[in-house]
Amino acid sequence: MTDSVADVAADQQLDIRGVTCPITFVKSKLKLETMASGQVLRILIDYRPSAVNVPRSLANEGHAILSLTEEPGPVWTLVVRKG
Amino acid sequence: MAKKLGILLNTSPEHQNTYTACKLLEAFLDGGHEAELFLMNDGIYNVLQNNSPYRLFGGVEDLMEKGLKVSLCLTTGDIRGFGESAFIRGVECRSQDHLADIVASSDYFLHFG
Repeated sequence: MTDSVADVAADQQLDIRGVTCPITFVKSKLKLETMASGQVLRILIDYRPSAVNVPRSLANEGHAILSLTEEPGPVWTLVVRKG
Repeated sequence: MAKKLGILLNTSPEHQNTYTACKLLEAFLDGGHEAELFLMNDGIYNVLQNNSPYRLFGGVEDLMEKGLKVSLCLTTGDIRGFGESAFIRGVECRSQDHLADIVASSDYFLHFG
């Protein structure tokens, strides 16, 4: 049975609102390094360039981007499964 | 054997750096090699869509047609009030990790700051 993205519970959360590029990517990368392969991280971002770049950079590193949603604020919620 | 030249350009279109860097890239491409340009700070002004044709070197688009890969730091674009749609087609809006990839993958890397 495959989980729909909405059902995937995050193992950990990283709130990097107020942080800008490139530190957003550095913090996300360091957090994922503390997690086991297959675990899911939810990242909160409120900086548009980071919402563009962090998913792409993490995908380049072999992690699976499960979802990227934008809510009023704006705040982006990025859900990543560690590769 | 083809080599790769990577250049980081931080200066605006009317700066001599821009002319020098782009002529180097052109020579490399004409020699059958690979070339990649990363733009940061005022360097992003070189690839704005509504740039004036009257600038020292306006040939980034021409070099892209010769195979030049161009990317820029979206944060320094954002700081200057520009989002992704402000830049010419084909330019990638990226971040510092992509610059690190360019440095790692280039045989020669130069910084025009």
